[in-house]
Amino acid sequence: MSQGKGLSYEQRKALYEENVRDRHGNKIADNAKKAERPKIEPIVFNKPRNESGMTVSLSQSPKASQNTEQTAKENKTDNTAARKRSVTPGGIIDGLIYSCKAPDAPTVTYTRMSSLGRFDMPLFTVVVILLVMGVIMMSSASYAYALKDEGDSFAYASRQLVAAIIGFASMLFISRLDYHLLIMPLRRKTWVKGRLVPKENGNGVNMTHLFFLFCLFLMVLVVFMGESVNDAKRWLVIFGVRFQPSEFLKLGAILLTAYVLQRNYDKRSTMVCGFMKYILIIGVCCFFCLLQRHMSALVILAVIILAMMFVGGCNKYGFIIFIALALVGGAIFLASGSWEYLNDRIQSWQKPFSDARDTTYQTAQSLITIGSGGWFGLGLGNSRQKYYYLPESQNDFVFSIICEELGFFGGMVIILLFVMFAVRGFTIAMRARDRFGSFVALGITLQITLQALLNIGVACNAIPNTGISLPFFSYGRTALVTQLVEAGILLSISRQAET
Amino acid sequence: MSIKPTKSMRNRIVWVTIFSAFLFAGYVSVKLFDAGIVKSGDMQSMANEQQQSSFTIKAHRGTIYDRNNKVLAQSTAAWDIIIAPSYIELYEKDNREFICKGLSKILDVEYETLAKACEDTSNGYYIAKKRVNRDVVEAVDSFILKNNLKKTSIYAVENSVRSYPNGSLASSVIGFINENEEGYGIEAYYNEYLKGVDGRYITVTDADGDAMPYEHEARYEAIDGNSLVLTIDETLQYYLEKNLETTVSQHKLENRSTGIIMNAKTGAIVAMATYPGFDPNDPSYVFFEKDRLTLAQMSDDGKTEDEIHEKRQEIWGRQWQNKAVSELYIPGSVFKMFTCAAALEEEVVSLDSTFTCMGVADVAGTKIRCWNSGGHGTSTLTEAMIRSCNPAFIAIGQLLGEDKFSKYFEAFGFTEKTGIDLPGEAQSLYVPLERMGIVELSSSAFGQTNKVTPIQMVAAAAAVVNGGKLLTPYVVDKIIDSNGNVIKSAETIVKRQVISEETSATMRQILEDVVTFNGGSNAYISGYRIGGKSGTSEKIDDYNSGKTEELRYVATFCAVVPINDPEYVMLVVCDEPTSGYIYGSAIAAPVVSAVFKEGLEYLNIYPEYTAEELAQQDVTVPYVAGYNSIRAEGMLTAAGLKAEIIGSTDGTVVTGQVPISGTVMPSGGTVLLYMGDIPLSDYRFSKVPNVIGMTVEEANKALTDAGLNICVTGSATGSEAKAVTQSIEAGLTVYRGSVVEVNFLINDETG
Repeated sequence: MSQGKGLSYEQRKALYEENVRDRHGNKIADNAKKAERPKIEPIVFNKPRNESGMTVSLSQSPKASQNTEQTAKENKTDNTAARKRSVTPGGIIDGLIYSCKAPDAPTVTYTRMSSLGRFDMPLFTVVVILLVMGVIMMSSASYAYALKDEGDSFAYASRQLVAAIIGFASMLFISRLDYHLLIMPLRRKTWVKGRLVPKENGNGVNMTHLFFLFCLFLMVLVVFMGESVNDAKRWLVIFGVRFQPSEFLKLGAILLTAYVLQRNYDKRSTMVCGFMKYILIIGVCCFFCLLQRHMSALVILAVIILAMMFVGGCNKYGFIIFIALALVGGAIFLASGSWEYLNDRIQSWQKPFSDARDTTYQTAQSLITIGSGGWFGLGLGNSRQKYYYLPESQNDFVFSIICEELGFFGGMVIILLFVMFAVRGFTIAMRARDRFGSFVALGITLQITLQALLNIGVACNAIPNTGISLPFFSYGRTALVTQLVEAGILLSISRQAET
Repeated sequence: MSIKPTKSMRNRIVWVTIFSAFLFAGYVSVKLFDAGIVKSGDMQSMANEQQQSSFTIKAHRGTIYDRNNKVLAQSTAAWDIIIAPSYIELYEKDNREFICKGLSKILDVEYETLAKACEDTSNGYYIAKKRVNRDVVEAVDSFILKNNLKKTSIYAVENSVRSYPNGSLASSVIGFINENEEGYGIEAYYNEYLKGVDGRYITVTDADGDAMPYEHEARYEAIDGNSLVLTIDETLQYYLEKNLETTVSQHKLENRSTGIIMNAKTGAIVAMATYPGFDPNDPSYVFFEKDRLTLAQMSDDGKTEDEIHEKRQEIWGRQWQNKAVSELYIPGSVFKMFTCAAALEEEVVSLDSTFTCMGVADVAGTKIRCWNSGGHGTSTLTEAMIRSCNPAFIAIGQLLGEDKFSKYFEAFGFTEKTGIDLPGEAQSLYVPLERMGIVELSSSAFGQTNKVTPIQMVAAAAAVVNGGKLLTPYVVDKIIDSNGNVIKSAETIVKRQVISEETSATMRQILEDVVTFNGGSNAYISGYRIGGKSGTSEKIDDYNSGKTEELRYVATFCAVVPINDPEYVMLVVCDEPTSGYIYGSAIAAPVVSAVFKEGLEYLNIYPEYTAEELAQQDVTVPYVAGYNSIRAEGMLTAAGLKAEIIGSTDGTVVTGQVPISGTVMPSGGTVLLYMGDIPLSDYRFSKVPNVIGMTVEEANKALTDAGLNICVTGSATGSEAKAVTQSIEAGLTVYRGSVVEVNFLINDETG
């Protein structure tokens, strides 16, 4: 401390910068010299961390990388040994344990904001446009129902606006964090020969596990103390805030799947590590969705996880078996009496005006609403169908109101915005710094794009009615905040991507 | 070993992108284009259909007045209560029973009926009750309001009730109209004027049926229908129908009879009746007793519902038809006036021409009999008319020839429709010139071959007497809009001059002679100058075709009054009498006379009596009881009556008189006055003689001899007229001096 006395500001600053170290003991000065603009290079496993000299967020521990060859050799001998020992029961169990054991995860480090790359303006712009349009259109679409239900025409709009502001702030905040926080092991040290030493790999419980478990916990809570709306028990009220845990579960499942995929990437062709683990995730999610009779969430989750598995190169036999099982399960499901419900949906898809007073009412009204708009619509706020003709006009069928007020033109703008979002999101997924980022970006982009297109598809009767809301537009505060948080994560991944 | 996304990952992400962001989005865009642009028109009209509530504002149907502005038909406002079971299912499913119970109480409709209607949940329009008044509508409204029900589920629609205050009066002219705007009479013919234009009230409403906050609305006011003022006179119409009714029952007419009174100078129809008609307030009720019996018989006989229905349809069709314009008949001897007029106009005959009748005429080998088989001997033209001699008119027809006969047949308008403003005018059936031989000509000349409508006959008869002008008859005088402005007024249309004024004058003289000959025919009314001609035609076509088992007749009479300056022409057609009388003179002429007797005074045409006629006037017996004999006798003498005093006149007063005061009896009759305390048993009595078959003179003598007074009814008092009824049966003992009404009738074709 005394060495700073009598020195000029510049000298003091230089001294400080020379001696200040980051949490890994590296001198910041060394880093700063090389990271005027963080140059992101391919990460090579066996490259010593300190030699690379740059901020590494994910790397194999030096020891592990030095011993890569040796480890491979050991693995080989282990395999032969396992094969040799397979005659004994213990040997079989060992083999099973081996085949189920994931490879070590690389060490995860946290990178500070100042060292991260540029903010992704294109994605941010698309999200902001969607958000602003969403709030405006939702207020217009909810005008009549809000007046009828709450006595205040902007009751829904004002609440949605609060959620939008909270979500927007969350997005900006999250975009400034390193997404690797999600997979940093919570226990940073481990006991080796009676001494507590820093962990050399990224194995262990991390945020993705905890968040997923938390989501499951909320899903269980819904079963016991959930609130019902329209015969579906999907909402939880905690401290006066009402929300849908299934919205969180989608994100939780994406994050967990992404983590498992990146950790097991090397064993992706095996049945357990390359297939069973994900099926377990899908199964758990499906179980809770089924408890809530939340079919749309179930389908979305399954499709996203399957798409992530496809990109992650999972075991193809597993896929075949899964599809076969899904077909059998579907047949059983259909045979078990839920047939009528589905039949109605399919009927209203094929002949939307066949029973326009009852079973096909929603679809018929949605088509009337869209058709009323023509090319450029009746003008903002001039929808007539929102006066109780179109059910759920502020929710599942907000897109129809957009088409009525802004026309086909307005509807196409929305579709194109979502396509732009998708293209940008998938680009980030391809260029992500690492596989975890890639999988997360893929999952999030897919979730939002799929939901949007499924919703729009339902509105214009391209697909049977599924009851999926339109991201950024439909009324739903949990969903909106979650979607903005997801956008924040995408922005965060984008900062470290090679764009 | 890198932890970066591998090449295969990138490739697969590209695939996911293509599938989700491009292919799926493309598909959705195409469907959006389909829904938003391609089907936009259909969708917009469906949107309008469900968003726009359009209420019909019913136009008020015009009123029909008679020529004195008395209401014959009018509409009053009423409402239909509509329930929409589909909306009740949608919005008030749990309240269904409550609604049905509430409505059944308000509307006075069976609960079960409403509940059953509500079960048909696909139905969006069920008329719970038709034509209720404003009070009920208000009760329903408050029921809706109080229970917070949807206006789309229960509502009132304006309708109207058409009422005909006079019931069946003039029903064949007025007609009626059903909900499909099909109908009969003026209601149908003038429907376009009467109905007006319904207005519309269009609002844009939300799904609950309330108006949207900022949408505009459109209102197109209803244009009320125009009113009609007819030329029909309600009072004359009543007289005509009343007397037709009497004839129908008296002569047991198997078919409906009809009568027309037309203004001979303008063509305006003053009365037009078909009896039995129908009640436009309830057109389906069968008025003709014979038809009712037929239907009852059919159901008793166990005929199927279809057969009965078919028969009922047939009866309805006939009942609603206006016989005066829609049915043809053989005009018979009435037609002789046209043959006569044509022959005079063409100067093939003159008043001095003579014709000989041997009872039968031989026309090219066909024997045509005269109604009087004994033959009429030699008659002048006027006598031939009076005697209605067929052979004479065969001769006149042959003198005219086919060409001229056909020319005048056409000129009098028998080949074309008259153009009266009533629906369903029938086209006459006639022998055209090309097919007319001597036999056809001969029978046509006395009216036994061609079939025409009554309205054609009336129009042609008017032309004969009004100076030769054939007029277009009409029933609607004025069309008035809802503000009282006359928008159309009928004008007299002269179609053509058929005969000259001179010929017409001659014809008037002949026709007057026909009625007044020999002390007057059955149509004669003392004090009026009446001309006319009777007719009795054989329904030879129905007989030949086997439609009727025996030969049936049509008895007609056509009269003109006053004959010196014709105002009204009247035709009465009595179809198929079965009372034993067949002659028009006997059946139809009394109707003419009765209607004119009542009607002419109403029309301000007063009788002008000759001295002789005045002497024969009926008088009313004054009240003389309580006076002494001299005073009583003086009062009776002043009234034109004689007194016969019975009992002591010394200090006594009249205590009884026969006939009693108020009795109508011929002047010159004798009233018996009983003086003092003469008990009723001491009154004088007479035995009523049988006078049936006697002439007026004979009957008068017989009754006077018996100490009774005679009151002659019936128009004919000449030597041809015979008593047909007497009011007190022969053989009964009555107070001496009582009045016996005796009805005289000429029962032959004369006149």
